[in-house]
Amino acid sequence: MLDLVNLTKRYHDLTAVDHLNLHLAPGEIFGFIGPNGAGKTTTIKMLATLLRPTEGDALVDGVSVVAKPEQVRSLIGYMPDNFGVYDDVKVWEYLDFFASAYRIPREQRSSLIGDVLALTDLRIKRDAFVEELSRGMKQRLCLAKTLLHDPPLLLLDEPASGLDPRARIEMRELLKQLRRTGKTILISSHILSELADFCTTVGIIEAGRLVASGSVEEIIQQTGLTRTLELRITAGLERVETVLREVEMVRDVVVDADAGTCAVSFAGELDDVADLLKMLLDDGVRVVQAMESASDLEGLFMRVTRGQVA
Amino acid sequence: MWAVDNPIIVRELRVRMRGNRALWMQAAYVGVLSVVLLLGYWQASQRPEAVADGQLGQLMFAWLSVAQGLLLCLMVPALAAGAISAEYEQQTLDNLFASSMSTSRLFWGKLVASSLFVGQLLTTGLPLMALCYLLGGVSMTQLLGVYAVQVSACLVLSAIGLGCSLHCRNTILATTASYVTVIGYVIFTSAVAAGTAALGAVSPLVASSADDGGIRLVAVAVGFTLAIAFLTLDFSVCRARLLRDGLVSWRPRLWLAAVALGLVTWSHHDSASDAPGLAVLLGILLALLLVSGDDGTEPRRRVLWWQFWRHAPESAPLFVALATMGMLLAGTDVVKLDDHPLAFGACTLAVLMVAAVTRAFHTAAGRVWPARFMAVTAVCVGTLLISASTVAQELMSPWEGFNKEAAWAFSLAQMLLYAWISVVMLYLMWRRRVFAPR
Repeated sequence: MLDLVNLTKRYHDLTAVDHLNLHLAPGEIFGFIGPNGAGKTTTIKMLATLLRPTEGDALVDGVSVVAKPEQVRSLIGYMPDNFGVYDDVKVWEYLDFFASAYRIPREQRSSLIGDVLALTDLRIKRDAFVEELSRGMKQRLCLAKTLLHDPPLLLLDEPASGLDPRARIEMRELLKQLRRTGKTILISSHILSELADFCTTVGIIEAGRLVASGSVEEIIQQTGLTRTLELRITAGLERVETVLREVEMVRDVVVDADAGTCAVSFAGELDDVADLLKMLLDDGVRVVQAMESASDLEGLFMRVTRGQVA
Repeated sequence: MWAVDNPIIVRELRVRMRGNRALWMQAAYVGVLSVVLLLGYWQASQRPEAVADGQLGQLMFAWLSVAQGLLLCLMVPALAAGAISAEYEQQTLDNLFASSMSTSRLFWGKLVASSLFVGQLLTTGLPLMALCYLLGGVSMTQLLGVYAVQVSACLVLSAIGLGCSLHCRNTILATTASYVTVIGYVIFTSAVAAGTAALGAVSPLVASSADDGGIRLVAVAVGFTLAIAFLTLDFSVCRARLLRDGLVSWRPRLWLAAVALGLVTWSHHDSASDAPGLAVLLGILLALLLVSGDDGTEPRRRVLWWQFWRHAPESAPLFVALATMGMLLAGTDVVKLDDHPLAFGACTLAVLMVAAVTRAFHTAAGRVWPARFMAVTAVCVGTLLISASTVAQELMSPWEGFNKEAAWAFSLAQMLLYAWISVVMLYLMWRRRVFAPR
């Protein structure tokens, strides 16, 4: 669905995006991760045909963003990071404006607007003025706008930025709903926990370069990094460190005797977790809870990147 | 349908009259015109002989039309200058540019949207103008003529505002630039109206000079003004297409070449012996052509203004071809193209052909220096062809009875040849994706 081939953007001496190569299959949800200034927005803007690549190309469903930008626009739904809305119009008028811009026949617009408003849970605000909407509602309205022409590829640049926790959860649920529709989604976010349970693959960009891409599992393997397993133990805590140190894959063990927990860093795959637990249980250690660290993606991100910007 | 179902126009129709701002503007507009009407009445009433002669309506009409022209010059740039820059400032431009709406549809919508409210204002002023008509001394032709010229002038002013809005991404700067350009436009049209009888009604301020029986005068003024509006808008569209899609357009250069040839023809017919005047005109046109060399191949700031060949290789042959034509027409006065109007068409096509050939060479060569070499060769060949044809026509002139038909046939054949070459070259350019972004 999306192919980036040596995609590069230079501003005089500054290289914002440096020979980016990427392939997204249809239905894939790709999380674009990177620090501020890494080149995420520049990349998405190039895909949205708002910026022209200095070098390389990107193909959306086989159509080049360089050679045929006008065709690409009908294939993508773009939601910018910072966007404005026409405050002086009503919600349905705003959507009607873009439906007309996307050349959707007049007779189909009314039902289509109803559908996207229902999907984004804004039906009750149909006749409200856009200026009366909250920030979260405006975000959802912008998302509704991107869905009007039913594009196969969605480019969402920080869709949850600036939202309160409740609005962020609502946005995440909405995106999960979109995932079920089979659309290919490229989403950038700096809130990594949002992407961890949502994306099928992630890409980490730093200083304009893609330093790692694939599923979280694949990145761990590619980079030789470790995953962190948190164990809650009711008995045999004193033996845990001794047992685990003998395992080759285990890099570090930190025991918190007061809390009855133990953090294990190891370089294995998910299947190896089961072996690890079996070994502990066989040794008489009573493990009542085992979970991978929730901030795994954050840890991964911090270890893969070095804080450089383009 | 394409023109009517334009989201920008529909939004303008929905939104403009919401709130009090538009009503206040309308009230102010009518208020100012009413005061001017009263002043006109007071001034006319000081001259009893004018009232006796039935000139009261005429005097008031003159006052009103000038006031209306001035108000339009003040209001239209302010209304149009924010069309693009305000979208940029409100961060709505990205959503608009990322949509499937074509650039020409977008600009057409912006132009109409800016002009709709002005049309409403002009309609609001109509009853006051009608009052002058009722008082007598003003013909319906004069009344409609003023409106026709002012409506077309509004399109020019809106197009100027749009152009400035595209170039200046700050509304205040765009408005200032619009006013400066509009002042230049008003001075230019007023000077043209004062100096040229055929374009006597072209200025929005002196449009009332279109008197009874002056339909031709009005038609020429409206045609001239609409042409300027179209050219101004299309320059903006091409610029926006370059910024948005990276598409290099040949249209600005084509319009400039057409305007150049049109003016040369007109000037040659109007004053064949006025070589210095023609030379000045050509100088202005060549300067325009020079500036038009910005086709986005390189960022403009990196190229010095006089390095026109670095902007666009085809600017060079166009420049040289026009210079050659200028010399032929103004300098030697040997060629009497008045006798063979088709030859002008041939020359136009020749210029286009040279441009097309150069562009094709540039693409085929892929490098600048071979393209330049081939461009120079093409220019020489093109110029030789033009010179040879005109000399051949001169040589035919001694034969009485044979001259006219032979010259026409020769010109026609030449034009067809050039047209054919141009079409082939344009096809090649299209095939090789010359117009595609680089």
